[in-house]
Amino acid sequence: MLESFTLNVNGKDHKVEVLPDTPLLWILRDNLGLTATKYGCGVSDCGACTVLVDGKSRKSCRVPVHEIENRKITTLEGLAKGKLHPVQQAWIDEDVPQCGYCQSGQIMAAVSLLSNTPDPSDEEIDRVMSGNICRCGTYDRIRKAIKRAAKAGAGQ
Amino acid sequence: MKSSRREFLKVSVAAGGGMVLTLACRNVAKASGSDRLEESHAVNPFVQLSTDGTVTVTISKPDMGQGVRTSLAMIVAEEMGVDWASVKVVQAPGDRTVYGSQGVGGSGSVRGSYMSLRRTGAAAAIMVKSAAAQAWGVEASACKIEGGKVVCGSKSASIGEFAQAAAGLTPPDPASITLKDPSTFKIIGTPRHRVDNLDIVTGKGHFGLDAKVEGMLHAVVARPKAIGAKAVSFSDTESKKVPGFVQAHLLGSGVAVVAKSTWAAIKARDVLKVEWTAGVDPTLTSDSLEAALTKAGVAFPNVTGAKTIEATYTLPFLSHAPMEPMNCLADVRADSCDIWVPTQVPDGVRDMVARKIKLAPSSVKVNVTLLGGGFGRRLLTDYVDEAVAISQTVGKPVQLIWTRDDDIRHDRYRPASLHAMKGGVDASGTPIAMYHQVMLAGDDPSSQWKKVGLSYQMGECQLLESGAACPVPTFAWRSVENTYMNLVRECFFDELCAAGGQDPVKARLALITNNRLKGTLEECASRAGWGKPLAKGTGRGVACFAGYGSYITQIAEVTLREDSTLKVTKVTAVVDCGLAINPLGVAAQIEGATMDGLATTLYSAITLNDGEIEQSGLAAFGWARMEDSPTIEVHVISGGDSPGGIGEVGFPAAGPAILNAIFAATGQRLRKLPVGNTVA
Repeated sequence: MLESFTLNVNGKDHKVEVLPDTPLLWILRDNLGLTATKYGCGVSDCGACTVLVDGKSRKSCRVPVHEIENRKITTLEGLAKGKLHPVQQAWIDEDVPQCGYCQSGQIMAAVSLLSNTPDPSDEEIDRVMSGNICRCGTYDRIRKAIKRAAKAGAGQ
Repeated sequence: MKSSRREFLKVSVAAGGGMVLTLACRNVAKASGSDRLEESHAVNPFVQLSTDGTVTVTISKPDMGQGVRTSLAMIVAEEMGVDWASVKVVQAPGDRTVYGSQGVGGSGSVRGSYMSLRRTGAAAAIMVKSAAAQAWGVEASACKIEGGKVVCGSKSASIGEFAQAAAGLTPPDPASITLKDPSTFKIIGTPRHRVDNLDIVTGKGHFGLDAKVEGMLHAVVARPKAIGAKAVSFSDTESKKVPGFVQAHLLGSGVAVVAKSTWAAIKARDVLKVEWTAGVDPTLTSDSLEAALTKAGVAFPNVTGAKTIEATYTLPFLSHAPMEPMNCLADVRADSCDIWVPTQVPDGVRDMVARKIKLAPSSVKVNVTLLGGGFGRRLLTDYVDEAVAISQTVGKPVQLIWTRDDDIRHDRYRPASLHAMKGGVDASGTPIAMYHQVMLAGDDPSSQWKKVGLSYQMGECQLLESGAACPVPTFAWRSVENTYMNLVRECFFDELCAAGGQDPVKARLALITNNRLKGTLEECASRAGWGKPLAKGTGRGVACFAGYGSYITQIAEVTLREDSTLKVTKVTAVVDCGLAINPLGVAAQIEGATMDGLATTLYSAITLNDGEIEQSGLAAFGWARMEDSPTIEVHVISGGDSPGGIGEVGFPAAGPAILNAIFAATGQRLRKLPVGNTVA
């Protein structure tokens, strides 16, 4: 049966009528039209669907809607506040994207990493960012971009 | 009958003011002295100059991450003499009659359109200067364009001011146009960020799955596990209980499941009951296939030399696995059809759809989105065919999505291969012979075969080809035959060096036949500090590749860690791709292809059991992650005034450089891929 849920996404409440096991990913994409969050695998392998839930990164393909009412969800669309978030700016400055499909998830994972660890070591970057696959192989530039964003105070 | 291409320019007034310049091409077939017009179409470049000075370049080639939306526009902007900041790009729909061939593959986009793009940009500049000269009463030859301004003596104005007047002039004959001296280039050869970066980092990049039309339904297809199995019948009793389920129907490839949302379609498919025929060969396993390949081998000729060695390499099937799974939004109506699709062949999609639904191509609109990766997979149009069939059946717009398991299990794969190698070194240790038997597995082994020359001068060198037909569908994968040919050659050459006690760089330098390839090797050895001492357990490996009009050497460093795991710590690449249009984009392609080489050497494989593909997800297929990523240093060296290909160039030498480094670090020759990241 369809059920009604209220989700707070990027600071705005949205009411949706969906199956209660619907993953957040598909609600963002199909119901709310927030398509920055990507489908890559559906089983939490690739991280293309990474969003922030109460500031922490979650893979939205495995977060059923009934778990996240009354939580604050941030997608890539809600990251820039007036101007680009330092992580977004670093992604441009390091010319990270190739095909670009995974980068929404990569950016959200990096934002979460920097909010917990403002000045991450290579090992910390490896550990946290290894949940996000980039098939184009932009990892080396992602690493540089995270360090650049850290210097710009992204985690402050 | 000989045919020749003749270019001509067309000019028109832009909607909203300004000039649109189109370089078109006639293919003229010459028969018994009289010219006969065969066809005419534009060759890629459509350039619009707006009255505000904005230059809009229509990009006819899809961008799958290779950066053509940036590099192709840079070429036009260079010859026009405008500021890069004033350049915008728009993506062309699929249309062979207007854009010619739009396919992207074989590292050919820049090489194929470089000169025509330059001529179009230069023609636009000539017309703007003519218009300015008329307005100012001066000679056109006295005018020049700099930074988006026409300048003549003390007079200066934005080129946009002359856009309207230029649109009324007769365009020059492309053959008469004098192009810029490359030494004066201001945009070509300079590092430029990808034009789509801002959209991508803010979530506005529009990929195939982001397409949406009013009233659209969502579809997935239930597919068989066994290769070649067909759906006989199905029961959707349980599917009907899923709210949002619309319908299910038989399709050539399985059973289409249509619903009002993606999730409902996936859930309804999960509970759909399908009766499948048996697959084409339920006994097929990776081991049985390897045995068949081994059997396909022939006896080697006698190999001369003071010392001879033999080795066998095996490489698995590979899935393309782009990040964005296959998808297509099709809206088939009685008299027309709209498609939104991430494809490497927009023109091919249009022709295929028109044939399929029996409409004129002009009634089919193919909207090309950004591609979430391609790697060859999106040269195929199977997913478009399905989406069109489903939309036709339900009579509504339908977005078809292949879930990741569909994508991994139902790809057309890079063929598996077995390579029997035999070679010899002379008394001084110099490699003098290399025989290479290639046994390919797949549904069409011969189509994947291409003779690949050896980069080294050796007395005896021969290729012996064979294959084992098996029902596994195969297709081109980034760098095609070079994915396996170059890996095996470069690793076995390393084995010959070791057998002869030779340094792998010095031995290559002595025997390498192409000076540009040699140049990359010398530079790379120097940049990577070849020969400098390394810590115990760390080794360097080198490999080279020449192809697609470009040359590359990669040197990898591998460390054997205390826990017996291997880590590729650094890869240094030196690439000579002729004139690099966008060095930053070139470096990106080499970095990415290096990671491809690393992933497929250490982790990735598609294997078979009981006539089924065993993998169904990215984790099972195996891909490289951040923790696997080495520091990658790419040095782009200039090799002349014309661009070489780049998309495939970074792959073929990356894997063998890593394997040769593993040997240097551990003393082990790992010849069965993927080799994993631990050693015994």
